[in-house]
Amino acid sequence: MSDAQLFEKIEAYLLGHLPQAEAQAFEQEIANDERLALEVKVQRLERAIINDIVRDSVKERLTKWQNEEPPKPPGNASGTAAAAAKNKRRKRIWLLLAAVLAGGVLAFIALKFWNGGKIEPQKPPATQPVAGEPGSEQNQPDLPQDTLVSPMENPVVNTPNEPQQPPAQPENKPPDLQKNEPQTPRSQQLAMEFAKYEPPTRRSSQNSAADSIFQLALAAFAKKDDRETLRLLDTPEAAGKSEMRYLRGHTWFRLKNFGEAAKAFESVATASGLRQEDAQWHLLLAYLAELPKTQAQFDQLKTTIQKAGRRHSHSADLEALLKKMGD
Amino acid sequence: MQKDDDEIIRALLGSDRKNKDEALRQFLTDRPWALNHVRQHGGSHEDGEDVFQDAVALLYEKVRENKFQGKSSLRTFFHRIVEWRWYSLKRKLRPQEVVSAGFEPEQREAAPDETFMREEEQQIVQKGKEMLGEKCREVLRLSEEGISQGEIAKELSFQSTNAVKQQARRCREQLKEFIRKML
Repeated sequence: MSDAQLFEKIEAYLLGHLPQAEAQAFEQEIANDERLALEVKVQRLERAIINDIVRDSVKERLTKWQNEEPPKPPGNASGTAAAAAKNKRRKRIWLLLAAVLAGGVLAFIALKFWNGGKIEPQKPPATQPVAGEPGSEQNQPDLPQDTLVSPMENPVVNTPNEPQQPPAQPENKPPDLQKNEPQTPRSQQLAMEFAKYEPPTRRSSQNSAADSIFQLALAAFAKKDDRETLRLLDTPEAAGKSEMRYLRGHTWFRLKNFGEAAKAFESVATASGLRQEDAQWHLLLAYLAELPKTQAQFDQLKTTIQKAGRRHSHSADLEALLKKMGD
Repeated sequence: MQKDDDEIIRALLGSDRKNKDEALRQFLTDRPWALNHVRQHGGSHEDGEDVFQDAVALLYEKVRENKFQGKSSLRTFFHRIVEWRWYSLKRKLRPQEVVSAGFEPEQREAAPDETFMREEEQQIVQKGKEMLGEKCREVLRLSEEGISQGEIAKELSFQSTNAVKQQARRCREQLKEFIRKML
């Protein structure tokens, strides 16, 4: 074998491009030949040095481009600490305004009763304190509560690239506040009605950390502890497992964060696997919940499922959904 | 304008430097995500910057080495690299915290950033880089990035493409010699 051929072979071996059998045979050769072993090591380090030189150059370029980047418009720079501080200040101002407004309303009601001669000093005000009012337990100015516990427990990532996320999570709101919210749109109601999570029928045979985390996440999901579920799923292992990303999608879906749910389902729906069709179906539902914003995506995915016909495990569900939508 | 994955990969593997830079630049849109991810997992803004830049450089390397198989979108792949990069860095900086958090990955082969080197090998890499002259570093870098020899000759003021080839060979030999001495 010439030097050039040997170089090419070592290169292919180091990059993992040799077929498995050939790689094993080559490894055997390396184990029996000290000179070859040294040559492989030298070439590996040579490659590492050149890669490192390229890395340094890429980082230099990135730094230069970052400095050239135009300043982000307000509200679009959620990735920076400055933006977080700005958001905090803004929230404080809103809470203060809400408190002043609520105080004004209460004073007005009290004054009205007083002037009308209906003096009922013992009667409690008609409304309970609302989140944000003085005296309310919800009067934590700096949202979200979970950041007070641990940053790990706040899985909401609101970046400029993820514009579909609604700005707040509803699950921590007291019942009074939820009562005053606008009515859920019909499309969202339908999406919620059709969404259903079915746990996998068989457990993974690998007794790995990922598997244990998944079991814990499943248990948390069953207990409707969505925050804990997301915390468990927000680990590197979970990121690599489609089953976990699928569960993550359902958790966000239940929290009515359809943007995040769509992202999680999308990552499963685009790769072939056991959950692909389930993920496609729930991705469609996530799009449905956000209509009309997601009309184009909804139509496209609907067509894909329709084209698959009976081969798609959710074709009947889609028919039923479309029928309901037509009602 | 956002490019799709195929366009980005073509640009990264191509020889046009402008296209290559534009493709790399696309990842700046994911910088806020990377910074947020690191911050939410106990890192500082500076850690986030390091992880983001490392991740872009690593993604470029994986594409060059044909290790991105297109099983996920390039963006998802990038996010996984960021996550793993931060995990690795955190394990290095605060090993106790990572272990106690209970997510030591068992399936290490699944990690996109799988560059485990012994301490002494890392030193060889560092010293090897420093030992090479500026011109050698540039020739090797541009060649590795797939820039045409004509363009390298133009950029580094070589007389011909042959001169570039010879210089690259000499630099590699010099590097190998150095590594052999260090081992």
